[in-house]
Amino acid sequence: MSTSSAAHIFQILRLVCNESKPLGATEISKRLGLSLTTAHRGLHTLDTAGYLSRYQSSARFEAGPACRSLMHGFFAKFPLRDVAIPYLQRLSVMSGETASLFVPVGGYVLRIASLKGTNEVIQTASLGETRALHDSAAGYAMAAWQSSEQRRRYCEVTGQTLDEARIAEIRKVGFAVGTGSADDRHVAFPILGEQDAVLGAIALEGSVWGNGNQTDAAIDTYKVIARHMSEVAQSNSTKYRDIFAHLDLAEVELPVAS
Amino acid sequence: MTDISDTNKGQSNLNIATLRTLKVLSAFANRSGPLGVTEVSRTLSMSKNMAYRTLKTLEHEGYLVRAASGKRYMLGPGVLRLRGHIAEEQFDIRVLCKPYLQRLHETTRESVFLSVILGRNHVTIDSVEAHGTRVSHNPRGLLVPLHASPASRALLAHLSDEEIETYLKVACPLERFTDSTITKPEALWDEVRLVRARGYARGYGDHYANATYISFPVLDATGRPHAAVTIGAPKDRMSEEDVDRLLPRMQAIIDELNQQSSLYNADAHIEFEGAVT
Repeated sequence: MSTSSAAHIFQILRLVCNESKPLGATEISKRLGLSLTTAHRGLHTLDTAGYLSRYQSSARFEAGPACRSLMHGFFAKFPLRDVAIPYLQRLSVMSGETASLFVPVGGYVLRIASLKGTNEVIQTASLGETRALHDSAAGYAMAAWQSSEQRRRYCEVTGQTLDEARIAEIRKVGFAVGTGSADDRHVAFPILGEQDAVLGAIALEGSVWGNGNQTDAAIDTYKVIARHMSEVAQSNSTKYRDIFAHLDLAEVELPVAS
Repeated sequence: MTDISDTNKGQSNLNIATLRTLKVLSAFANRSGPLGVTEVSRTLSMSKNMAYRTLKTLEHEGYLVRAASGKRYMLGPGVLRLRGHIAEEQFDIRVLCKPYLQRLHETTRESVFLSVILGRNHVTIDSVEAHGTRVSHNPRGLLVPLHASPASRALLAHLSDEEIETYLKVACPLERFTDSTITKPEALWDEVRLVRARGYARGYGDHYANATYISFPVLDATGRPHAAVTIGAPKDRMSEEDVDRLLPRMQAIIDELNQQSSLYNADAHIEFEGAVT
């Protein structure tokens, strides 16, 4: 098997998956610098395997059912999701905000469950979206309970900084808040296993913090709910542990949401 | 599984080797545990050498990573690059049930509630309220133990016997809310059997005493509960006989809702230990 033909296939697949509109062979060959024959064969192979499907019977393609089952298969690796759903339901109904569960994946946090808020203005959140650890309230909520060695390694690999003063404050109050800009007034609570192992974080994504919709007392209540979820997760800590903890941070590189 | 190379022989416009690589990747989607060279070669009928090279290619592309336990592979974070725009549609029980709550309200003119299990309790997450004198929405986020109220009993009855045993173990002594709250385990088992046989739970004034209630489960294809839908009305406006009279019309709407909810899996596992009390 030639590695280069597999490489072409995955180039085509990634291009189509990351495009918001369906793509045809001509455009693919142009954008990837492949011959039209290679693009045609690639599309046909991906279609046959279920990774792409024709958009409304046209000659253009979009992500297919096999991509969907890969995503579901990947999400299924995080059983913490099943534990979280009722807590997210309760948090979103109490706060009116979108409530999401994030888990650590390398130096990123990944949103694997999300329940829409009921307030008039809400933030929508897509599943499978990743953010850098230093770039979100959920990431900071997790970073704050990592070891200082883990944080040092993160900064070394990514060239980013983690604000240690902010981390000290998060550990004191028990939750992380967003930057305070109009679209980041999120509040995130860590989900901790035995010996404070970081399993994930629950974030209320919306105008929660600072001129936001929520009182301090309400946020305290949400913190208690998140802690209850931690207690449930602690009863089976190995099951919910970080399954990618053995990978070096430098091995995992993912696109981040802007 | 059909041998790909045989079925597609002669199709020059198909890259057989790459197709095999994609099939190997797909094999990981439906697996909870990791797969090694031997399993892949056996499952997909290919030589060990070929399985090895295919796994290496997929590892190189970032779609597979070594599992923590050693030589075998599991889906890696790289698959997140194939998210496309498909992952955004997601299952939300509230969204699924909303139109049915509305129809139940139009049929009964009374308040309708949607509740889900949270640990040892149910919590109400949505409602359509009647006008004037009515049964009002439980305070947002209020927790009601799984042995009290029709919504709780409708949910409890559709858990497994082992789960009900566990609930009884952690929740005993069962908390009493009114004179008619079921607090004896044997009586609760009788009620579980009754709810399973009927397909709904009636109100006994066992949690709130002043209204008439009936509660239906919303289930997945295996009979696991997603949620319970409860219709509640002031006693003087809806008697138990009125409930009997409305039952076929309510049940028809609930049946339709269950056809929809059976397309999605409900939680396979409920955590009672250490859960909110």
